[in-house]
Amino acid sequence: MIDPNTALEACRFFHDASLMLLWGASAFLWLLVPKALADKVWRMFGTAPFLTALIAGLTTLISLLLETATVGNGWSDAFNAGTIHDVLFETTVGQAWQAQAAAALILVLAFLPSRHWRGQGVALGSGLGLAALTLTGHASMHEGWLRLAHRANDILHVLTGGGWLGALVPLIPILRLLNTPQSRAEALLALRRFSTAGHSAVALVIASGIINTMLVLQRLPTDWSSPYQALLAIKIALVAGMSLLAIFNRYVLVPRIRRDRVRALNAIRLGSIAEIVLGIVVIALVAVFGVLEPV
Amino acid sequence: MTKTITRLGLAAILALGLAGQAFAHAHLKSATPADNSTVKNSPSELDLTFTEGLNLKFSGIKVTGPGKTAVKLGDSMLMQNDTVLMVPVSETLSAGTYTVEWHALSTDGHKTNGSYTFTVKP
Repeated sequence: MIDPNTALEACRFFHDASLMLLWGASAFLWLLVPKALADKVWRMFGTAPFLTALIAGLTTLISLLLETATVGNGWSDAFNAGTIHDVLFETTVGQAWQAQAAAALILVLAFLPSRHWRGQGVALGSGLGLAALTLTGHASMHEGWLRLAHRANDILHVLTGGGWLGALVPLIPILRLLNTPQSRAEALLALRRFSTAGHSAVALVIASGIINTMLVLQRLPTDWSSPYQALLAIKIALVAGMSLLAIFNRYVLVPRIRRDRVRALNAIRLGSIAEIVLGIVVIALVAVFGVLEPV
Repeated sequence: MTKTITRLGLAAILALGLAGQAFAHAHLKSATPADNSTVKNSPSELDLTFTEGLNLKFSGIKVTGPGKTAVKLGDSMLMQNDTVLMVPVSETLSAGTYTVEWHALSTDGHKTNGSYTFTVKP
């Protein structure tokens, strides 16, 4: 049987990944994509967003049991009502969980009423869910004003990181819609806005990541005998790879669209998929080293 | 872009200079009676000082004496911004070496544990 800590890491991965994908996709479609095109992309996604929201909701429920087993004495405590109660009401983990559960509820309920408010509801639920992650763990390791500053920085980090990663998902059908005459103008506008917002998002992810490293680790992650530093270093390398792919897409492939449209668009699509894959690996790394000791 | 990042990075380093040390996991900094120490009288309480604040509900100690018998302890409490765990000892300790096994949940939700020994020699 796997130990509760490993199970918690896996649960964190599915939880964080589903929230980041939903946040980025819904925020991009809501704020930067023209309404008619956004509606079209939501329809193309079918039931995938709802299933992703269900994963976010279920992993929220499961995480309380896993946190209880981790904080308590192993699996025997996972279903112990008394221990669950104590974790829920007497630890910071429990307080953070309450906020995460409220956000997950908003997220799942966003799929119930008419399609009209769905995009905003998903963005609100997933955005709050990501922000609530900073209520415990390393984001809350300091005291006083520094704790607030640290949390604000981490919220900025997860929202810009999730915004970048999640927006890449609707970008792929939008690239295809460039070939549909009636969607072309709107798709072009959406891509241009993605590019502008993308520059800020990438810059903010890197800046807030540097600040976070300075706050948590207080040094550069160069001592790879420490698992925390080794995993953080791999994460930084992967994010550097994502950034290079983004720069290559924007400054090498986009100018080629005029000359060799089909091949350039295909290359941009593959580059974006590669960025998504790297981004998901990054989330997996954070799910693991986020609970390790930052030494 | 690079300029902004450099500036933010510098601001962060400056902020850290003011912030001082911080740990996400609670480690035992000192204890009374201390690790590997010898005391003449049976202690009435054990004080464990940690590097950061603890959660009382999920932090505690177990003390075993000579012959692996568990020592009876009172209700523990936290002092000094929750960084000191004070545990009353309910019985008089006879001569011998005692092992204190501690487990701690830091305020921000990380778990640590460890152990140390002290000797009572009247």
